[in-house]
Amino acid sequence: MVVAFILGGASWGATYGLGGIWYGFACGLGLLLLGITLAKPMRALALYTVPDVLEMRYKSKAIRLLAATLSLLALVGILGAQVWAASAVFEAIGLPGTAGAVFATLIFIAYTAFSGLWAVALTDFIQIILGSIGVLVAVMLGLSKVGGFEGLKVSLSSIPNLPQASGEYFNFMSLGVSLFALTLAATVMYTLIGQDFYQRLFASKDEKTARMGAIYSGLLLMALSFLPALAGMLALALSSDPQAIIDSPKTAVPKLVITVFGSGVGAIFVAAILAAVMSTADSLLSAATSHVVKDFYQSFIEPEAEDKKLLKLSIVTTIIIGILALVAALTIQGIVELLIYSYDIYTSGVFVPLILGIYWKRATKEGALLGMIAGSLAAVVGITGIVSFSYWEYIYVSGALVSAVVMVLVSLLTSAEPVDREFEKAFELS
Amino acid sequence: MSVVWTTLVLYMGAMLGVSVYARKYIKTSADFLVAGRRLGLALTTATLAATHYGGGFHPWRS
Repeated sequence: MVVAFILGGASWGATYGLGGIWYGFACGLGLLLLGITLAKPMRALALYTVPDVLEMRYKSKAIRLLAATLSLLALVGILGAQVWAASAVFEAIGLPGTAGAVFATLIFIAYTAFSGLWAVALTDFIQIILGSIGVLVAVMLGLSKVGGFEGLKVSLSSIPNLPQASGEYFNFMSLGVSLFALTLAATVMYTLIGQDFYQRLFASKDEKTARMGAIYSGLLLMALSFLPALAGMLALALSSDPQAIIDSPKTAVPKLVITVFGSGVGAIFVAAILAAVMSTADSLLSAATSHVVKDFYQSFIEPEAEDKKLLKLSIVTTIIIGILALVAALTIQGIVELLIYSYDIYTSGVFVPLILGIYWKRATKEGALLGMIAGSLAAVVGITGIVSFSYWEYIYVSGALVSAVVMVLVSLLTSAEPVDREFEKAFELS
Repeated sequence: MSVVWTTLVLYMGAMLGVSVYARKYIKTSADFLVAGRRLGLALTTATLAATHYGGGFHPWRS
């Protein structure tokens, strides 16, 4: 999700060719597995946030606070990265990036603050259709312009300085087995614990809808995953300046769109790509708000707060977080980069305590808390480079392993409290 | 360039319009935070897919 489906998948397409489909495929696989395993029982709990679920399982405010803090920092950081993505889209078509990013960001803050998750879900529905049709049409016209797959092959072979041999662009495993496996693991891990996904499951009208929604969205993304990869390859092949795309692959899609259509019709498709960026940005924003209102304010500051006050707080929080992410992205780039690391720390620290809490009755709150801290520290060790990994995604896997070992040991050494009946019932049903 | 801006303004205006329409569903904090737990299958599917859909990127990762 840090490198999300459309622009991320296209960036992989420009770098790895058809091997780039695994990026989008991993996003879909994560949702499919979420649907098959946790979507239904989690919806049955009818809570608001993942830290909420952790508190229900372990009866520990400390666990809730730590998880909510890590998740909130990560969501704000990734939101800042969406502002950069919007800026990159505007720049790729020769418009002022900063002005464009401010414009797009103020719009999604406004519609999210005005009608919350209802606005987010309704606009998502439009945005995903617009984004998919836009990229599909761009890929089809691009393919006809380059002369089909044969033409694509020939064009790619004439480009100097490709990041890999041009023949490799048609090899699905060009990215290598370890990057392939790690990408699947890391993306699936985050999808199984990300607040941005669970908030939507909690918002579905019943358990069956949560389960089927996750399964269908997973299948949809898996089926579409070839599109961004092809878009990335076509952008390279059709560009008059392929080196610019090799240097900055994230601009591949907007450049393809303008090359294929010219700036007139292309404008419609640029709107489609912005739609994709904004559909993710509003999800992050609404998820961040849910942490502030439910995990911090209502849980620690005023449990008996009147609902009117919580609604007002939700609106104000949405505006403040949105503006903060915008300002940080435009002025202090280093802060956003630091915040994005909390995404790695959150995934490494929270995955095992959540999953073991569900599938293992002997898990204790001491085990979960220390496991969460150990996994987070392992991620910090990897991020700071004290231990260096050949691929970034190793951090998740090693963080989760450390956290699993610590959590199991500490849990066995401490005594387990009985699990909440409602919690137990929800997961027995699955 | 004016074509680009016209299209973008139309698109952004439509998103704001959707939000103004959705306002009628927002009465409680649960309506705001989890859409009153009332999303049907089409909206649940779309909003889950959209969460993975967009464009963030990390400077050190592809």
